[in-house]
Amino acid sequence: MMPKEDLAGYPFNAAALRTVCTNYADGLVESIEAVSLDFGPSEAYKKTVCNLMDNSLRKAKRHALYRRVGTIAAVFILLLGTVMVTNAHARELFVRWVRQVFPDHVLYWFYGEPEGGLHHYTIGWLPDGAKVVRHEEDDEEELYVYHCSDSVSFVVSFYTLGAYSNLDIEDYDSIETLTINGNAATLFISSTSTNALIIIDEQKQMVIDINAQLSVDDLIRLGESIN
Amino acid sequence: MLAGLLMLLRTDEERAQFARFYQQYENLMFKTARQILDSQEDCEDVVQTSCAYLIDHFDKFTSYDARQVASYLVLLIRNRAKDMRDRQQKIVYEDVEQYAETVAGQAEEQGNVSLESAFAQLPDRYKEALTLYYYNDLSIKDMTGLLQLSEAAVKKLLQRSRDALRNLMNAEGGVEE
Repeated sequence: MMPKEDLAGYPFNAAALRTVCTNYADGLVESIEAVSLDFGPSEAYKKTVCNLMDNSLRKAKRHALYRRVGTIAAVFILLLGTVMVTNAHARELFVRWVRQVFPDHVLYWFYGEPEGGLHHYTIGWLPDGAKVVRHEEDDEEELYVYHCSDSVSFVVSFYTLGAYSNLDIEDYDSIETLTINGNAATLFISSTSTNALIIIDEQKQMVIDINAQLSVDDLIRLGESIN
Repeated sequence: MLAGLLMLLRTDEERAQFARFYQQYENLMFKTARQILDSQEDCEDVVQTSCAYLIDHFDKFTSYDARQVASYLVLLIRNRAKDMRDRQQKIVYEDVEQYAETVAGQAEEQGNVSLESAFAQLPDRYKEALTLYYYNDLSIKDMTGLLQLSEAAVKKLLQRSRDALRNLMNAEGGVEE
């Protein structure tokens, strides 16, 4: 309520005056409502007003509906995003492959049966002096073992996205996620053991797994050269 | 005309809100106008012109309860209707001065009266001004538009209204807390 000027000098205060005015207003409205109209608005006037009001009400109802639908959609998307981030099985349903990082291991799994079989890749770059010392292949996996020297070796494996793949990570100092040729990849870095790079080629439904006594730069360069 | 009036509101939600408001109070507005005016066309005119004013000040109603809205509408329509009637009858009032003399005369005759009784004896113009100010909680500026008076005239009207009330109560016996 707005402050009203001080009624000093008057034999009444604002509160008392307000009470009296309230009674007056209520009485006035009641007396008018009790009256029956001998005529009201004309039919033409009523029709015009009704049409105008109905149109406004219909439009507002539509807008209210759109707003409600928009709110529900926004909430649904937020919830879905939260579930996808926090629940691996939900991701599995939508993305078909999942990576879960635990304190001592990383789990990769793929939802459903992979299609297309084993894909054969070409390795475009190898460290100086690297030679293949072993090659194995079956329906689901292809493996190359390379030696660069007596002390440096690395293994490049290609296998289909299928059942769970479990990678122990206790020997790794850090894990980084990155993108290699547009594919999600994880880099496992160790100061005491070999480094590892795992690339998920979702399009070809294949995993590229490189375990190498190579520097991180060479490891990434090797991974990028595979297509 | 109402189409144009509705377009003055900014959003569809406001227009819908006003539409609902109008539907609720249309009968009351027409009854109020009918108490003062004789013809249907005049009543429709007054209601429409009052609606134009209402649309301009529609945000005021968000803070009102239903009783305050009803009293506001009644006082607005009564004011507009009386103006129209007086113009038609070519009656011109120096209303503040005229009422002041009348009320002073009444006070001399009656002696001590309560606030409620004194208020009931005030001319409608004074009652309405006090009600708009103390019950509907309008500012002086709000009242200039509703009563179609200048700010100075509104202040004078309120001053006269309070003085008339005091005179009728006769300060010695009519103290209200």
